Amino acid sequence: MSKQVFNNKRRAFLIGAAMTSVGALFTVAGCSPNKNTQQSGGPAVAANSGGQELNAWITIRPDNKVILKIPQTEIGQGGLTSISQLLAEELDVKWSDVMPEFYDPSVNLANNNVYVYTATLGSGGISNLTDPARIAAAQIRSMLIHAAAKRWNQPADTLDTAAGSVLHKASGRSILYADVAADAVKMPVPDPKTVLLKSPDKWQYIGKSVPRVDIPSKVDGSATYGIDIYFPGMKYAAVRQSPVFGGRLKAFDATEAKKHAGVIDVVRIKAGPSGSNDPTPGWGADFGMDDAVAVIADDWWTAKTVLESLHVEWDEGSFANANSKAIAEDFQKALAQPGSGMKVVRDEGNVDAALGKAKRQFEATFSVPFAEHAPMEPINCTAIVRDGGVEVWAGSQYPDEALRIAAKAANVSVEKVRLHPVLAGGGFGRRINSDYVSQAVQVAQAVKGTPVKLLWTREESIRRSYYPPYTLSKFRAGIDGHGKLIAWESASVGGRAQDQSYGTARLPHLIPNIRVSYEMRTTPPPFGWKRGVGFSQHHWMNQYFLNEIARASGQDPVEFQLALLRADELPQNIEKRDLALDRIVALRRVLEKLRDTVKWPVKSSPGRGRGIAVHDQSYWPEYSAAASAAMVEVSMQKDGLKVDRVVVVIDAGRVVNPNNAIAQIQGGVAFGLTDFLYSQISLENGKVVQSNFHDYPILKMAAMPSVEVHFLPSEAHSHGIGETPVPLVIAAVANAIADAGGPPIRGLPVTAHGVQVA
Amino acid sequence: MKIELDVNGKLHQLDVDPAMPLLWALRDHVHLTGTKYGCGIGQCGACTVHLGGEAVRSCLIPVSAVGKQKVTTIEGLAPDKGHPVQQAWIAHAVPQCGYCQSGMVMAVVSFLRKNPTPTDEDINSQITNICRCGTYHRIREAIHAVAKDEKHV
Repeated sequence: MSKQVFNNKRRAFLIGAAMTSVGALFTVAGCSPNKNTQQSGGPAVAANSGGQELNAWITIRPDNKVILKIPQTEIGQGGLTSISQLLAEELDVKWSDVMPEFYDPSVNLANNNVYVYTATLGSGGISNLTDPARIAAAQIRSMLIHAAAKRWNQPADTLDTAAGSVLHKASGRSILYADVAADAVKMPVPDPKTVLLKSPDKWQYIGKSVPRVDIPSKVDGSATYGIDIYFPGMKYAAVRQSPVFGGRLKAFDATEAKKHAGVIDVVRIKAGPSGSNDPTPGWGADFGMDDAVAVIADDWWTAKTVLESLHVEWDEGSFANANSKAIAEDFQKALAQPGSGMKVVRDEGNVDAALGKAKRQFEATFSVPFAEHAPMEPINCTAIVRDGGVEVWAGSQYPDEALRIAAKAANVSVEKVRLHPVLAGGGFGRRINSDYVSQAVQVAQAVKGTPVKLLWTREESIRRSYYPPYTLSKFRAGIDGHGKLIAWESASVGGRAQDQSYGTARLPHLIPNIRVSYEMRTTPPPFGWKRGVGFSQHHWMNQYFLNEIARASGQDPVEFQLALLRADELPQNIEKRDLALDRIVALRRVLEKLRDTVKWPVKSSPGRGRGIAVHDQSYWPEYSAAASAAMVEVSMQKDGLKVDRVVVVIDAGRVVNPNNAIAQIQGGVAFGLTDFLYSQISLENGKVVQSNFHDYPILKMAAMPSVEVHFLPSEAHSHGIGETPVPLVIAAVANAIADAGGPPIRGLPVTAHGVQVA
Repeated sequence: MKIELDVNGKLHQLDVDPAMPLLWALRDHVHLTGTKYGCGIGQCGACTVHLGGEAVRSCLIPVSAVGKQKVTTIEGLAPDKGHPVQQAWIAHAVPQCGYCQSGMVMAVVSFLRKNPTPTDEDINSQITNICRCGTYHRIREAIHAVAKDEKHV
């Protein structure tokens, strides 16, 4: 999702540097959110009750419980638990004493990004935070040891720690961290480059399937999501935006609405920025938000029903007549007669000459529609404006940016805003954008001093999202007389977005002549990152086309790919050769392991098929996420397609929490299958056609295959795994359909291209 | 309109629009927020509660239609997460984002009461709630684990 965000080897740390305190701005009318202050929902989540803050990450309470600040939003990925594992490991405390809390974005903004990586996107939590979290905790452990050493007048290297105490074995003395924390904070802060980290053979938590801290509260209804925030006396807002992207609000008549019992006000929300969608400098972009109108009422049902009857006039703007069919025709034309917008993004060898020489040529065109994330929790945000400041509760994937957007919406400085991250009922990229935060703050300004919870309907959530672009790609390839792939060409046209060409250009296979081109055309929907990112559009095309060429030329698809992933054939004089070599070695390793695990080749039988695919979620040359390979088994019977079984082999580096990592892969498989089978956003008269789960279906129980996960043992730095399975399974299931004798796959979702689901 | 609701064994006097779905009466007026809004059209099941012991999608039921029937929400299912389905959900680490799981647990509890030892086909046809995180694999395992245990009967 992002370019290289942080180079693991060269991270700068500010840990232990003087922290700028942000203090309390104000509190809401003497109340905290409903039920409890357990915003992260875990059983051991801290209620703020003092203790010694040792650095931005760690506070030790008088009862020796340890509050850990987690700079990731919990959107279901398990970040609250896994980042706590990293911190608890190096701090050397009892797991039962660990109390994870969400970080405070104000602290991060006031302290020069002290948490290093606070956006929850790009599968970046574990990979970017492993070193900072471990080092921060190791520094505190060292400072606790030195404080005890001073107190006991013993050399520090004769002391050790265990389960939240400093120990002096020679004398049998021990002291709780809590009893030495006040002294520890005065100790010199160890150099982050040399601070002693635990050796992996001593690990108690890293690499163990520690139970997730948030799960118990998610089985009894006590977990507090953004939608559940409640303050006595709060008001509720329903919102309607321009039904056409880019439309402007002309007028509305609120006379009748305001007469309705329980209605407080009807307010205009102004178009404006929605926040950068990536924390990487120079990479993130703001696709903005449109005008809207909101009804504020005593309860949400009233606000919603009154809003439905409100007459609103829109200036629908330049996209008023946009429709999917015309966009498809425009893209076809752009592919057939490439204009100046078509840019060559990769050009190696001489594709035209190689195609001319080829013994056999292949050609195919593939399409992928706009799609929407559809997290189960509809979009919402709670805000209060008072005393010249703003307080916000949001399940945001990018709280730092959400805070900045809140400040802009209220026209105050960022110091006047507090943003409380809360549990999010799924994100998948949708909650990176902060449009709804701006809306909530604008609405709260109309009822200053009163908290307002703004909530979108599912229909609004599907129709006014940020969408990965509709994409159309044309491929050509050629093989020589030995069946070897000697030429590869792809040209793609994609809708308005940040550059998505990486999704197709980062083909790791060694092909002597490659040309990849990409043209971006202006399309109505604003762009958004979605789980799997550009690889969800493009990766399956590459993998499916490779598979098709292998099958058509009588070659085994696995051996065909392995022949293109040979380290000994990597040219010497290429740019970033080390990275290319790493990728080939990792991809080959998972593919060989998969081949052996499933005993490939499996003989196909009528109506049954197996497909394989391989993927590494390489966002940028310096940064590659887990390499993975999958085999999918399908049956294609008279009543349609059934996906029966998925086997995933994955090299994710060190896995911090295996059981949770497996859950992420199982979930990624389900997400990829939804994309493959169902997901499609289309436009008519400038408006999104789909509106809810009846016409924008999500995979259900009946269509869920069994999923088998095999991790390759690794001591390498941990990679992100949340997104990798999505493109991987899309490609593998497409290839399985080919093996089952199904129709050629030329577009997603397949149910819109003639494939019936059993 | 004044309406009396029996929720988790407690009577609540509400003054609400009679057309308001039970879901919103529970969330915004009884302040029990474990029951979730997902779609509002009975498609996803995030709002599943028990009405007179039967699993229903509370976004489709006007609060005025509840009458004297007892409403059970996730908060009233069992004290201290003690229901075998809740215990199986914890043991199998089912939830990810967790948003759909209140409804999922309520749907499964009702399903297992009628069919204590379901087959995969029974589960496929009867458990139709949506989980966007894709926890179905573990839901299936957890259901079979409860069925084996049979403590839920």
